[in-house]
Amino acid sequence: MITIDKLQKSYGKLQVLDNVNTSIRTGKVTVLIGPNGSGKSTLIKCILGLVKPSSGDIKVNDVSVSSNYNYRKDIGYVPQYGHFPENLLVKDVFNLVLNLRNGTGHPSYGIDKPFDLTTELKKKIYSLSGGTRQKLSANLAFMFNPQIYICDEPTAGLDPIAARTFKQYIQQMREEDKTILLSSHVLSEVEHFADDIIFICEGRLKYNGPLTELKIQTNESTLEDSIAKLME
Amino acid sequence: MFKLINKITFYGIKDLLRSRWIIVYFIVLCMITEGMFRFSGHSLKALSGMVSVTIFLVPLISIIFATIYYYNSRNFIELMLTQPISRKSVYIGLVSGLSFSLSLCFIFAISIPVLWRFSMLSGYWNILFLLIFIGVMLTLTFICLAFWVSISNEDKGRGLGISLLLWLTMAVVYDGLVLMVVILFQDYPLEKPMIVLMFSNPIDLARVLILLKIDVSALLGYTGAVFKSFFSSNFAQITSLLSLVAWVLFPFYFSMKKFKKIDF
Repeated sequence: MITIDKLQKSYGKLQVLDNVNTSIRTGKVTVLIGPNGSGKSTLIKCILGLVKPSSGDIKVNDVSVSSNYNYRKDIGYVPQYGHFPENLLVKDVFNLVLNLRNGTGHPSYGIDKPFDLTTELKKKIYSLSGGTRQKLSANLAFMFNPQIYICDEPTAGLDPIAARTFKQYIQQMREEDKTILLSSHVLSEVEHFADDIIFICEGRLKYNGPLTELKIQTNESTLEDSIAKLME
Repeated sequence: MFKLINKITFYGIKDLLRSRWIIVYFIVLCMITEGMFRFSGHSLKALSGMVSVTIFLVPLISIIFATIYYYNSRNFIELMLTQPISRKSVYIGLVSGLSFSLSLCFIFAISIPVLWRFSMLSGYWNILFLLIFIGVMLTLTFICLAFWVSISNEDKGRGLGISLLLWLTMAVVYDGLVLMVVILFQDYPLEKPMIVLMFSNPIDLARVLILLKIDVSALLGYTGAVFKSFFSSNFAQITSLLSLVAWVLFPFYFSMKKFKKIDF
């Protein structure tokens, strides 16, 4: 469970997040939606401790993220694009993350889930395509079987087949009662597995609740139409 | 915490020692050292030539390489910071990985051509060790300064510009300013303020330390004599070596403090 309480973030005069209050339910897929520059990535980075909030608090499993970094052992993060040191081998990156997690978790999925990277292990990072780097990011996040997954537009750099595999894996994680927060621009892609929707616009929450309720509230049959109606 | 720092350092070295730019740096430095010994014909002259390379080239390469390294690693730093580790561990691991790689590169590039001429260097070993020590300290100082600049500036172009300007100021402009002070206040006794000015710039401090060891202080006239008398005392030598260490520690500490606070 992630709870966000009166979260504010500003860069100088620019208010990026304005009084955000929400909670992300355990065992559900919560999809974070919003136009470009609406504050989605900032919100995700605040949860991960990469961005320090101006005020307010975030709790992950009842632990305040500002108090220590150990809460991150429960989180697997898939960034929008995978970036790694260019001259390391793929297996070096796995070993590095494995070492960084030592003592706080054990790899239970390994190097073949959700994507089979066993043939890439001895390749240098600079020789990998953008898609393979993104697959590596996903595998690193899933490697420790954490309780919470945070994915920032994870399918942006993936080909359609890989994107499908990733989505199937997300569904599998939901069945295993994992908490998933996923940001995406492609609404049709996330509609069939989203439980809850957080719609954010210019740093403010416009909608926060179950997808089914959103559809009833807007009297629309698809997520895309519902969001369009909210933006009117 | 040390185990984590060691791991980040280890993989940092593994990545950097495979970098073609580090290899180019090593080969160029090695060729310059070899050239100095081959064409000067005298070990002391070769070492004096290496002083200029160490004083100018090493800080320049260190600050530019470290600045580019930080900006290129930013996304990976973000990924590391999403793991259950402290920002302090990530920062120390990054700086030490880069410091070890560039320092090892410098030490080997200087040492390999010297090893061929083992007998020629008798009597000059102390100068060689001081040169290597100063080269390593300047490498560390300029890596930490580069991190300070890069952490404080999100824009890569701006950060690179400030780093270059910082090197230019310390390596070239500072000397001009010191000369201007000397000319403007030539009627006053300037020896003590000059010593203070030397301590305020790691490049000048390193240069004075090594030039006095090579015994070319006579070329510096009266000021050289004052420096020589000051720097020959044990107190002054320890103070100047400690100052070089302080020039590493201060930017290291302040950039770490900044690193712990910034948004990624």
